[in-house]
Amino acid sequence: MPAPAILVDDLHKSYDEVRALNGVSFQVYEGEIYGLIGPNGAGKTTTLRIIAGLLRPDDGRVLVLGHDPFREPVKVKKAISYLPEEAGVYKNLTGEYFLRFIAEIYADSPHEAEEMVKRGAELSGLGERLRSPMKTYSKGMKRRLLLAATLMTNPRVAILDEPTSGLDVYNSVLMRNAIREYARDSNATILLSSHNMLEVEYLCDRVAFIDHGVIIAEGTPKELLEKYGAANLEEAFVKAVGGGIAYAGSKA
Amino acid sequence: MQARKLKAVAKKELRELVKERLVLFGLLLGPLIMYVIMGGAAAAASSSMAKQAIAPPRVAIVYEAGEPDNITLVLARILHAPVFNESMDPLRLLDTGYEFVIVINKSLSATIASGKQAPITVYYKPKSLGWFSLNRPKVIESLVDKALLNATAIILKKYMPDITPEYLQNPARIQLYYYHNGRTMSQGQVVGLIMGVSLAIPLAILTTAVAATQVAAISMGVEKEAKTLEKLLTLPLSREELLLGKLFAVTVLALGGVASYMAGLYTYFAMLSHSYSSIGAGQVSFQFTVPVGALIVTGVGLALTLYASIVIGFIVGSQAHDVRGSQLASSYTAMVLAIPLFIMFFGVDPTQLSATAKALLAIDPYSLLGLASSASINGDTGLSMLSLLGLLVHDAFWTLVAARLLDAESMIVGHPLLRRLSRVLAKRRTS
Repeated sequence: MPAPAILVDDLHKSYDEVRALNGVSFQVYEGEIYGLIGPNGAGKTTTLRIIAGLLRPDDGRVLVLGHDPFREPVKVKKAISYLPEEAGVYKNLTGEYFLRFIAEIYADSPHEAEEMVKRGAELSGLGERLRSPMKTYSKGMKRRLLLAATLMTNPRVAILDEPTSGLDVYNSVLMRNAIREYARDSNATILLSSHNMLEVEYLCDRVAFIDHGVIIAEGTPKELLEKYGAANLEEAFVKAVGGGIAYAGSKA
Repeated sequence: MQARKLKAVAKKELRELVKERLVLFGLLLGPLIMYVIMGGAAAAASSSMAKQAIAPPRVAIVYEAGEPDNITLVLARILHAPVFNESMDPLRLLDTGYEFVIVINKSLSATIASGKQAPITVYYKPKSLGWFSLNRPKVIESLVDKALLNATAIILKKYMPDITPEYLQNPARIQLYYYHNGRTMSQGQVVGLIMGVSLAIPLAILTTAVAATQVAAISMGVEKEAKTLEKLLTLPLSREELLLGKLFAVTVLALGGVASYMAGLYTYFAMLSHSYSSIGAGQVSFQFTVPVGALIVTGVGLALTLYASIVIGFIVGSQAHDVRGSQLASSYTAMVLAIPLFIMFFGVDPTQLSATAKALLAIDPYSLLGLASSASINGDTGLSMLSLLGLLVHDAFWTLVAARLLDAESMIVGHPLLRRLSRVLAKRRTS
């Protein structure tokens, strides 16, 4: 087994009286696409924010490529790229300028920055619209641009929080294809969270179900289907979470 | 820390903020337009008031004792007024278009000859009632005084052949010199200095510091409202690179705002000054005669205050939810910090305050700068240096506060203390 690119060990986190994480542990290996699935408020975003170094855990440990995001923040930030769930854009800047800004922060030379911008422009698929202010973009266009800005820097670890949330089918497919192609071409590690079971089944090598701040099941999609005797991940998730809801939609 | 990254953040910040209508209008165009409009209005108002003030009055005289005597004739000549006899009703004359009617009784000449004050009745019909109508009778008072002094001079000439009317009006011609900081100054120079201490310097501090606090807070508010902060915080930037990059952009914008305020203010005074000189009411002098040393202390102090103001703005903005919230919070913060400066506007010299009052002023960075400037203008080098040192302490203090409050977690989900406070407030509201 290769060394874990992301090591999450017994994370605990509370917001005042609300317990968001209650001992979350998992490992993501290099080159793997790992999906974190759970209902709203399960602790997905909090986990991803801790890995990205945005929130400090109350207890537990995180290592990204062997580095602690709180002791060596710039090293970790240089290696990762994070797409927040509700990420927005600078409405007065153009898409091209935004890509250039991100590239200038990551790149070590102007030439490298230029290469990143080119890759970002290609990944976004926005063409000439890149020259328009971002306030004129649709939600799908903004999300594609943000994903392009996340992946164009060639991160060794990409953290994607609900990458296709709120998008139509067409834009969702475009985003999924871009993520899959990037993972295949760069052998990068991708950790994503999602509500969309089809998306997770299509993209992820391994999946973890998270609920009430704990991982309740983990494995490849196939293993999880077998474990819960389910036809698809959605059914497996419902069975794993329980709570008296039958999968077919009828009340238990 | 890398200059390349700082530049990228500062450039991004400037582009985004400059295109933000709120910043562009409120900070750069607003003051300019406001002052030009105010200047135009003030110039028009003062010009019309001044024209009215110096417009010759239409006067009639009613003499109550038959043929008018010499004094009445002198008065009539000076006022270009016709003389009517006692059969004419003064109020009727006002209704026929006269602005003033002066009624002179037969004892006037005898009273003046005896060296006593002469009672004269004046009826005034203002064109319209307003504050100006209260000042207008002063015109007729001064003209009547002048006429009667001339009349008195005629009488006195019998005994003092060389007496002049000027002597009667101002027997002494005083030349006044002020002595301040080891040099003598004319009254005009003192007026310039006072204008500098109580207007120009507080205004420069106020506009710079308030603008900086607001732009810094808005810059944070924009990131929060646009939901770009989370992404920004995960970029490979140290906190210093991120904040200094923003600080550079905010400083440029704040200085732009100050330039706009100053240009607006200059235009305002220039328009006012022009309106006075165009009607021949004399050039109004607005030259600030602040010594060079004081300007240097003010400049250094301004730079130190600017830093503290921007950091305060970042802290306030980081705890707001959006642009409006950050603007509101920063406006209140700036207003509270600026209260002592408003007192300076009214001519209170902070160097003359008690030690306790000075120590209290030191809590507020804006006031401390005011104290540093005033002390250097008044030649108190010790106090001005101490104040600058105080500003350095302020900068260090606010940097420490920022280091505690501006971590990613507190910017994203709010500082635990503030979260606890809002929870307590929410509970109280519910109960």
